[in-house]
Amino acid sequence: MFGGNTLKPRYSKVSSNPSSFLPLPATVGAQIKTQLKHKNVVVVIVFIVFVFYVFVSPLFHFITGSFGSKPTVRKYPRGHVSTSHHMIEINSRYIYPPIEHAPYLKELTIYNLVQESKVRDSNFPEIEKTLVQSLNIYDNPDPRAQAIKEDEQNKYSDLSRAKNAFKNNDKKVFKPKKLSSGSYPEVIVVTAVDFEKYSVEALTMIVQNRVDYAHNQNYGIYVRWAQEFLPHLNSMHALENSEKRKWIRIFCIRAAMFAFPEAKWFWYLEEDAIIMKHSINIKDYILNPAALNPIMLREQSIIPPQGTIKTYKNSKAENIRIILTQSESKLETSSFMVKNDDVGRSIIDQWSDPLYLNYPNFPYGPDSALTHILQWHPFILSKTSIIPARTIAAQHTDVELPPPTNGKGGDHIHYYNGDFVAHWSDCKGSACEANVEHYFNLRKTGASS
Amino acid sequence: MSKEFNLPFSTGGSLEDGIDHLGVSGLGIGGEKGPQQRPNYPSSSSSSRDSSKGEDPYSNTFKPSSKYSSGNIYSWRNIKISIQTLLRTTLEVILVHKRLSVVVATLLILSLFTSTPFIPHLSISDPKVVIILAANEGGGVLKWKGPQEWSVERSSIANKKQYAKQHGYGLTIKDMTIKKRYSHEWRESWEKVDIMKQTMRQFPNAEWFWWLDLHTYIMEPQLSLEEHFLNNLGNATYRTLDTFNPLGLPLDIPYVNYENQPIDMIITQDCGGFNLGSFLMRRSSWSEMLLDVWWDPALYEQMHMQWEHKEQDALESLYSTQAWIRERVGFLPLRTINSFPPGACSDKADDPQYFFQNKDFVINMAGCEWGRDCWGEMEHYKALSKRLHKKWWHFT
Repeated sequence: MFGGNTLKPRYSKVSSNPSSFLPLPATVGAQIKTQLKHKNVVVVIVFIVFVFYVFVSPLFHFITGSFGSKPTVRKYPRGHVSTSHHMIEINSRYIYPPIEHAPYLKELTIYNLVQESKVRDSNFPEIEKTLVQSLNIYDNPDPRAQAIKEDEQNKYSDLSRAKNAFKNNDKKVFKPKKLSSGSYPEVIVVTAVDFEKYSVEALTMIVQNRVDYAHNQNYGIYVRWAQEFLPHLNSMHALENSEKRKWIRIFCIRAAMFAFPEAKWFWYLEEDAIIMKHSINIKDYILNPAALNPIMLREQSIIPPQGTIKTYKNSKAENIRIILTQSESKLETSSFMVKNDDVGRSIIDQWSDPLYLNYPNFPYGPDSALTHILQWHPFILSKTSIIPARTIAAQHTDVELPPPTNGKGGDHIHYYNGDFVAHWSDCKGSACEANVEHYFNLRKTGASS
Repeated sequence: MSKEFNLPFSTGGSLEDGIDHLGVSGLGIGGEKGPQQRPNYPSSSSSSRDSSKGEDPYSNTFKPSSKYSSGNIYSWRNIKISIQTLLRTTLEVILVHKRLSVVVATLLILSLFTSTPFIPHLSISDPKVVIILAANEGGGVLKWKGPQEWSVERSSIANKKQYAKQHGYGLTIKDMTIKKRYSHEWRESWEKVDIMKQTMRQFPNAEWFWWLDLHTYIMEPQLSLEEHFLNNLGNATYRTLDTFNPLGLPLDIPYVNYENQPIDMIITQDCGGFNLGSFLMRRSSWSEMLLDVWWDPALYEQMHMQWEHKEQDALESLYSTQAWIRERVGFLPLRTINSFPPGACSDKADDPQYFFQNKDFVINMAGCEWGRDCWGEMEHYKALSKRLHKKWWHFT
């Protein structure tokens, strides 16, 4: 081991270092050799461990995975409104059709506003089917080209302007100018108005009433022409049937849910109603669980007064997705609220299934359909709450009501002074018009006094 | 020996100390030398260290630093002593209070099975995936099972049992005999939905539920569902029907928004539309609602003449009209979890996308009970699976 080495210090350069004055020991060379051997062994072991670590250990997959190609996420088409792939973004929280077009629309009639065609299925050529479609099917696929085309037509006549505005209502979606918190309305009041039922003046009052209320409470509104939903009903005569036309409520609220995707609640209020107290914030009044909990009717028969299926005794107000009222004999949907979440939207989708829509055993249209759904589907029943009718749909009556005793109105259905909403449903012709005027003015004087 | 580990020299002898310190300890054997041998090497190796402690570097005597010897309470000997003391005391206490100790020990052991916080628990973790195997389909009052049917059932069950065990999945075998409550013409074949609901209650912590018909066989049992597609669900599935739409369902309906919607149901399509012989559902409020509305008397009354495949047709109808259903259904190619034998879908015999090829995951002998030989097919695929997974060191 020591052989071959002279006693002369091997590392003379090292010893010439002025800081070291002692010569290196004689055995230092051998020591360094051994040292280097050790070092080699260590290096080899480290290398082997490294190779095993990278290629054999499970972490190997992780390392290669992180350097590999990123998984591509499949793209799917965006959601779209019911009759078109185009969308018109509106900055205003109040989405409503130009009411002043009502006379033109009346003049045009529904036969010029929607497309009715007869089709035969190739499998069953002997059966002729009616197909009612929106005029949006003739749109140019390019929205800009379509807009230019419509501008041309709008210059040409007021009628075509009204027609274009009518078919474009469906495309309107809300897009706030800036996405700051607080700018997005939490509750949307939804109404479908019929230009054949009411005059322009009455329609203006109805819409104005909603706008005033929404402005007061920082909510949004979503108003559509009832006639726009003829394609959904697939019939030109659906509006003549007072039960069939109720389905418009469901289609309209679904469209509103698409137009205001971030809103929390949607309140469908029939056109035959006026909001009487604009100071009431519906969130504190009904929608918040703390407010809803005491007023929701538990163990209430779905078909009053003695139906077998009842609302749950211990359903929680936080889980409620849909809030409705009842008359003496059935569920009513003239004024109801739906929460805007997955389950709330699913309930509306399920409710508007075309097979329910055309089912002959539902005498009251959507009211019967919902009654059926609640009786057969416990999941939806557990998400539903029935509240007294006077809270959101106090009924107007032409009959003189008994005067309120001890300062309170007598029953749980009819409208008394100071109620939130006045609603009338069984009026004919000019009587409806008179109701609008009466309650609109009553609210104004009531608010001013 | 234990004392020596605390000496400064043993730590000073590491390689990093460099060439100047390669005295004795530099060889890495310094630690093994006793302190008495140290004075023989009054080299420079430990000089800097010793002088830093204010000791004479050339002193021939070794004086252990008080810091590293008996004064250190963390020394191994001291720890050993204290542990011994502690054990002895504990033993004494236990011996004095025998009954109390037994009670405390019992409570401690029982607490392993509770869910109280801050206490260690002995929990058998619940499976994330539960396989539901429908057995005895159509059995009961109509006929006795023959020996071949028993054999098919046994093979199918054993296959799923083995697979579930291998991957830690749950398995529940559900009896599908004809029951009176499903005998009404509007309510036949609706057990599937009820069984699904029942299983979700039975396994409250499981996430995915995989329905398998009896006439299925898992051909690649080593492949876990996570590895196969669950971990890569977004790319493994397709959600719009524009690429494959054997029924001609509407491609596009309003309001469907796939963005940020998870997949809660995974199904396949065969040549005749949706196939529910092998499908998965994830626990969620969506699936709870679907299982609730899937069977609806008002819909079924209108359609029961057209809906030959009952719940399959009902789902197709919901899918084609309702946005909320569409948003959370994902489709897998048939061969991913539901390959067909040549007998099924025989009209499309030239289309390879339906039929089993080696290394496909699951074979579904769909419709073998209608004029085909279930037992023969089952035996064939059982043998094939065995052959495909034969290890190279096995003979024959």
